[in-house]
Amino acid sequence: MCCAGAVNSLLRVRSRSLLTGVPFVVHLLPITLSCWFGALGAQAADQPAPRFETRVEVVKVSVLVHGAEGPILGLRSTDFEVRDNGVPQALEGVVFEELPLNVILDFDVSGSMNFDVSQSVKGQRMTALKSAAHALVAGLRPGDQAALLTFATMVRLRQPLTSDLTALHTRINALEGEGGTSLVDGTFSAIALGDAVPGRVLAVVFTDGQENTSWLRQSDVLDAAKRSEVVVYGVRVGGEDSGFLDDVASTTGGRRLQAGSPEGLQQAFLEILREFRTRYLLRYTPRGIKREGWHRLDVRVKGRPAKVLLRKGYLVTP
Amino acid sequence: MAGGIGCAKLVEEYRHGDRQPAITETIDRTVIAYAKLVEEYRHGDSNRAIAEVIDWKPEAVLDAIQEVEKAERPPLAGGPARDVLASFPAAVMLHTEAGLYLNYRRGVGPNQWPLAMRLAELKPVTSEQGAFLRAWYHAFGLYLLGSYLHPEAFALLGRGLQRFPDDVSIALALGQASESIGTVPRKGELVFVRPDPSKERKFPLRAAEDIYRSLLARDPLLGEAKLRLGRVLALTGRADLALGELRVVATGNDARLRYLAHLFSGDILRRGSRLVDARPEFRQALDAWPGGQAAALGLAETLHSLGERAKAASGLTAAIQDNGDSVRSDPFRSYSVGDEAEQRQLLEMVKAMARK
Repeated sequence: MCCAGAVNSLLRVRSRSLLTGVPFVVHLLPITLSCWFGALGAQAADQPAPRFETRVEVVKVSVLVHGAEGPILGLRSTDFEVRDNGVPQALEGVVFEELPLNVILDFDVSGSMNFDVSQSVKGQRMTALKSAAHALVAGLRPGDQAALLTFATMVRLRQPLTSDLTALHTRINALEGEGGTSLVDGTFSAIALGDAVPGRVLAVVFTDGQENTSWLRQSDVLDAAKRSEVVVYGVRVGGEDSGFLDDVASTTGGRRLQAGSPEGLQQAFLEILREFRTRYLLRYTPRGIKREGWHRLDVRVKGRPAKVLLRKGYLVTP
Repeated sequence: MAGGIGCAKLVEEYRHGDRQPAITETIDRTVIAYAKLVEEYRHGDSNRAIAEVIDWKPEAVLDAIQEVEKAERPPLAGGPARDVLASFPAAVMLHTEAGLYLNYRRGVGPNQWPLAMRLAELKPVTSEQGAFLRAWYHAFGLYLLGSYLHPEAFALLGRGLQRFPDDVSIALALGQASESIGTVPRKGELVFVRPDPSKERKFPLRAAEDIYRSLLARDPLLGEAKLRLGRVLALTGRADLALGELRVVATGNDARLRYLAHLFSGDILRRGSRLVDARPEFRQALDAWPGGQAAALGLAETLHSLGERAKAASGLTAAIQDNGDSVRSDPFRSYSVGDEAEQRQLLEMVKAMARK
């Protein structure tokens, strides 16, 4: 990224954060201060510019902490132990339930969505999907936003991020099933759009799972998932499974759910929303490690048995 | 219904009398009924004829078709089998449509398409019948391709090319079917897109390459063949050769071909980790075909890889933003399996030829 671009991006992120009242966090956006100072120095005629190699990056990690009785709530930064590529990191903040949600509903609306959810349960998949989506939207709180993205042969952004729930319900009602299934393209679109949004982003990717028309490759999207802070939850009806959705979900710290009935689909959507709200957002500036490359993340809760669900790591490209 | 022909008298004759006349009479009646069915399809209610033929017993249809095949050979005789032979395109199309109906409804019944293919082997008597057969191989092959029945499409188009070796449309469709076997998952097959095609997928890609090279040997300016050759070369790991072919196509006048040539070039460069070089290719693809989603996705993915997330999101939003009912077309979406509307239109045209 060029210097001006980096600075502008930073300012844009900052101004949005101030407007929404969200604590300022740089989204894994590397800002090379040497580059910034270099640009200023260039204006000062023949004076050689001072060069600094300092980089400012804040890493955000969304984690779900489960004990034997369910989610463990009320944890503080001192309760967590975070390692980045094996090196302990000092947390700068832990946010829990304070941030509004940005939910990207990313739905398969291919022709196969007109079939039954399962042989034992009557009712079309599309009808079940709409009911489940309405229930999820109804579960949003003031300040939360949602977008509606669909994929069949083509990917379509039906509704950009909005807090207007009526608009979302209207868009959901208008969905119809037709065409092929670009699951890989649809999943990438949710990640790419989500990465431009400040705050917590949840992508709910629903499919009946017969990919056949995508342009992008699965490996492209898995790489994008490694670079992303969007948490992807997958929901599937039907038995066929390539493992793609599982891989994307686990890479981003989400998981994949299976639904075998219309009621099951609605339960899955509501479970995702409930679960996402109980996640902690950890923040730290990496110290003592090489910047570029793959960073394996390890988060533990001190002093008590707990299962922690989080993304496997993150990728910083040169 | 012909399937119920074995009446008590014939059964009795078969059991206690001379068996041959009973069999012959049964077949005669079957052929008469079949000829009526074909006639009804041709000049009457085609839907009713389709519904009826689905209801026939497979053996009865086979008996009738065998008689039609016999009528092709000397000594030529009159009769219902000869009538069917005279209008066999209608019989071909009757079974084609019956198969499409069963496929669409996921219904059960005798497989109709092999019957259509068998009838299509009959010699055309008139030039109109010859034109029908060419069009049928092409249209039906593309339709099968669009239904993700790639091996079936490949088999049909392969037979079509054997019969009509000079037919460029059939040859291109055969190459497309072969290419699809190598790249596109079949309907119901688990998704498994790999960066480098496995051996089993390379074979059909090589077959497609041979077809395109042979077409270009006859007509070096055939842009579609050149584009597809470039794509196949890329998929089989010959990036430099592929870029050479695609660059030629990218300078042509056809916007669709230019779009795809830039798109595939961008993909080659992206795979080669040449992200900065890939970017302008995707942009030129979008210049050639504004709103092309594959190029927009390729560009967004490249920008995302380069850390330019805001640009990636804004470019992608522009390409996928819903504008009422209008869905932008993208030539890539029909590159592998064809365009559904065009396929339907072609089949309708062939149906009209058969029902003349």
